Amino acid sequence: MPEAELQLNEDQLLQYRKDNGFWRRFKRNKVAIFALALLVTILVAVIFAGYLTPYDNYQLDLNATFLFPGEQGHILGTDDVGRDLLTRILHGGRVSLTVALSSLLLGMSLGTLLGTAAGYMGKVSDNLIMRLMDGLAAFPTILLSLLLMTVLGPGIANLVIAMAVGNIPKFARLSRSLVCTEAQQDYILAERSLGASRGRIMFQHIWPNIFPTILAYGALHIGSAIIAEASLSFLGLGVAIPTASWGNILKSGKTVIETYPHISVFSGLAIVITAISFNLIGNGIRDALDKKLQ
Amino acid sequence: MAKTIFKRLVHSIPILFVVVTITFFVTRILPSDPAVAILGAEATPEDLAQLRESMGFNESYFSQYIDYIAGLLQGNLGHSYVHKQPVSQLIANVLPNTITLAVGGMIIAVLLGIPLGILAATHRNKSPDHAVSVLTLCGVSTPIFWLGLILALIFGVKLGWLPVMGRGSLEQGAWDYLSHMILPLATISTVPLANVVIITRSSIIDVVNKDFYKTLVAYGMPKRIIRKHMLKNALPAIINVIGIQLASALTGAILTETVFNWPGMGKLAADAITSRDYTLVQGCVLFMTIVYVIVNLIADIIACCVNPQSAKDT
Repeated sequence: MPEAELQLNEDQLLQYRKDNGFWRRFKRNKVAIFALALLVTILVAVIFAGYLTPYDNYQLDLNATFLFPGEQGHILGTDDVGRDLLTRILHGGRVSLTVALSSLLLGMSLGTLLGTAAGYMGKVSDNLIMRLMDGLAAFPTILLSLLLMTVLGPGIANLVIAMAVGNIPKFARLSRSLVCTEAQQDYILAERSLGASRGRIMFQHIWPNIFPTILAYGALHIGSAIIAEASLSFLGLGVAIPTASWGNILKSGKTVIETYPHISVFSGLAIVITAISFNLIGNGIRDALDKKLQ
Repeated sequence: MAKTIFKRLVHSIPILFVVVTITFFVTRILPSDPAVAILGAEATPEDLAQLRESMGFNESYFSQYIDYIAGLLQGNLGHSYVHKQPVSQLIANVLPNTITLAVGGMIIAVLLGIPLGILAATHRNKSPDHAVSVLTLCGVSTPIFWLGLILALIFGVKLGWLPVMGRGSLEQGAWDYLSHMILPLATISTVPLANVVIITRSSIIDVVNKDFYKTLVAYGMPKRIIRKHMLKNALPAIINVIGIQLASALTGAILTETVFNWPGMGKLAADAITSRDYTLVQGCVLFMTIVYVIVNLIADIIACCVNPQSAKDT
């Protein structure tokens, strides 16, 4: 809003900026605030999983298998070997969220580095990197992760890598276009004519300006990262049992869903509620940043 | 326009090339021995050596790569060691089932999605818009395999209205065939539906805010003509998304098919994962990726035919 800013004196301008800062604008979005509160609750519950329920994550109890919700003090019931479902879901949330967030962060970092290199290091590297990204983006995400998991073998670290690779091209394309736009700004020209080095311009000037947009874009993808982890675990190439994750709890409940639906229903609900809150927060951040992001 | 189409065609060749190359090197260079994967960890070193020799694993990567591409050009996606059949044959057997499911799901998504998107765009920030946005939010936040399980649980198990497993046959009557399709179609169409609604809404809002559109309205043009201009300018973006979603439905059918035991390509790949038949998994992935690229290309071309202007924007 440059016109509004021009008519104000300096104090008013500061006040205007304060009122229209990111957090102020985000706060006006009641739905996003609600989602944030919900998410914080989920995160706290998941982080302190070990203290919230009296049961152990791996403790089998063959006298208490397939209890329905509420029976014998198990709030959400128990699974096929008598483990408390609520405990499993809370611990599983730790794994699912860790995998989703770290794969996204890894993909975001690599993608941003590659995109920056493509946008700022000349035509040859630009073409080379972006054609590679086109090829990677042509793989449907879930299939690329499946392909990589067949090669890398099971394991949580491998799962994070397999999921991250699918995210690289999205962030590379975004950061490349942001870098290209930013590099054409007058202040960059001024910096360059003052003799600033490429590295200095890149890391001191361009990156700080494009980072919020990249983070907002990342926030919009957390929900789908959680679903991606669940999908891979559901197909049997994600988190391997006995480690709990939302996806593999859901998978383990699939075979008994006709008689004991609570296992799949509650683990799925955990995914849906978390994904919805992340998506709402992502939308809120996008709107508050006032940037056009698809 | 012919030039644009030609450009798109040429552009997709390096993409396919990169896809094939990535698949090849990912499956050869990373530290997993295909001979061990085929014969299992218990195989004797002699057996492994013999297999490596017969499969050409001892040749240089470059000559393997040339052989691989030559094979692909002849439609050879490798050989499944579990089914003892060529991967291309296995895919050809189940491909029609996947196409039925994905195309059917897309038809539902388009028939419901475009009107819902228009409804939301024309009632912006009013209750129809809010209702539609809640639906799309749920659509993109729900894992479709979970939705499929819940639908099967409610309509198949609790109410007993619909079958939940497998594919019906026409010999048993039209109802048997159709009833087996209802739940898988409902499941596979959710994500495309949500995405079609989102893009329809946003591209119509985009058009309505453009100066030419305001001019048309201000001049008092007949509604019919205004609508024609609105659709013509909003459609390319919508068609692009339909292309992406159809491609994703064809490839993402793996989840829906696993839930409903639908004998399609996704089920084939998922079973291959369970039986560690990795040539089959990789063959399926490569095939589906090529399908994905081609479907997107066709969508691009159609969008370009509907409104040649759109090709210049991108």
